[in-house]
Amino acid sequence: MSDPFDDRIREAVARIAATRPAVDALPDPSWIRLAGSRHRPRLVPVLAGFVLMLAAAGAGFLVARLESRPAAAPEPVAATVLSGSAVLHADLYRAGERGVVLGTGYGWDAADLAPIARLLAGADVTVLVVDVRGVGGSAGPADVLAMPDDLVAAVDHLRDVVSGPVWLMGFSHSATGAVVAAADPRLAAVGVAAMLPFTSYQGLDAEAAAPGSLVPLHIVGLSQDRMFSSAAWALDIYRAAPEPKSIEILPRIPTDTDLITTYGPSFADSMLILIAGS
Amino acid sequence: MTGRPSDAELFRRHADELLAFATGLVGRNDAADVVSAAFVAAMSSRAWSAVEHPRAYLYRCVDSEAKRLHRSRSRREARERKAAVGEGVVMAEQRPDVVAAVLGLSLRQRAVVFLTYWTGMTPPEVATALGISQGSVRRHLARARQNLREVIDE
Repeated sequence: MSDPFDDRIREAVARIAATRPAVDALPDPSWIRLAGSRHRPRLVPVLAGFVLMLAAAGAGFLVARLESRPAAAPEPVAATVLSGSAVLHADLYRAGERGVVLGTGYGWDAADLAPIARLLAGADVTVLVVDVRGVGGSAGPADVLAMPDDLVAAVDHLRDVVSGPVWLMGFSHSATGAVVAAADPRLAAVGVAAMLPFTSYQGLDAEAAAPGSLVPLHIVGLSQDRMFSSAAWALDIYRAAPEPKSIEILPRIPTDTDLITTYGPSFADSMLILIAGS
Repeated sequence: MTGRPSDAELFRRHADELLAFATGLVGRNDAADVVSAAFVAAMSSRAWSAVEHPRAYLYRCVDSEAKRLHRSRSRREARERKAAVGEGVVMAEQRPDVVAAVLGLSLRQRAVVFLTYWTGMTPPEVATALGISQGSVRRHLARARQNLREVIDE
């Protein structure tokens, strides 16, 4: 025996539910970890549009580039980047006329990031891997708050080397710096990719800077990171950023190998898609 | 092995009902964004792999994302109302039927009503899905029904 009052509520709620969008209005769920799937980058267009556009535009380019691997990546040559009064060491992998500046984090120097640089350079992208001050071949002391300046200077340096657009790609600490740099009008990059950023680190606040971003932001986090809230931080920064933006959550893979060995190919693949769409 | 469905399977099973729930909370235009963000938030959570009731957890994430959107929208609408005198009167008059009355409930009341009347959840299940006590569920439901009765009995 149903209550007419309840029936009217039920009917009203059903009418509202009937207006729901179709499931295919949601992003392709293939980014979700699939048991037994090959580890690949999965772009998550949470607010639609941007990544799909990039993925569509980049698909042909990416396929062509990936199929060309392992192309003979050029050997790096040492370069010097001037950032204010600081003299920074960098490794330049000279390839095509599109460029990527890859910033180091604390604990990884330019040599450690060579696998990513080689993958990009093998896809005909010129890469400048810069040791931020206090890291690798760049003299210290480490200065977290100067990191955006170092990355801006590295982009300027690479812009003088290549004729095409330059992207800024930060890893770990420098991903945080790259997000902050994205809000810096001096940054001459067409977009910023932040691989495993912190929301903030010793006063360098990516989440606070993200709303002022002047270029497209692509944020990458790591799902179920046991040490850090990587994916949650990525999501926080993503939420704070204006459109256009995109987020990517990589599946965590139980492995004893280091982050660069494990996820470097995914970072490089994502970067190639972004470059192709720019 | 826990036997829990894979994330992809959970997506396939629950995306549609979560879209319906989100539509009830934030409307059709924002429902897909809210559900997408909820999935990312759930699966980005440290707790996710240990969650015993993923369906309820996903409902809670949708509810959280809807609240987040509601807060930002309320701030925006408050700003816009300052600039557009009279809009509030128009909104107050948009209550012609039960659908509008449901949509006019508070976000929390709408969530409780939707889960109760559309998904058929019991108060304990609603409490789990929304992360609130069973007492709160009953209070919100009672207030919602009282508000709706004023419309329905007119």
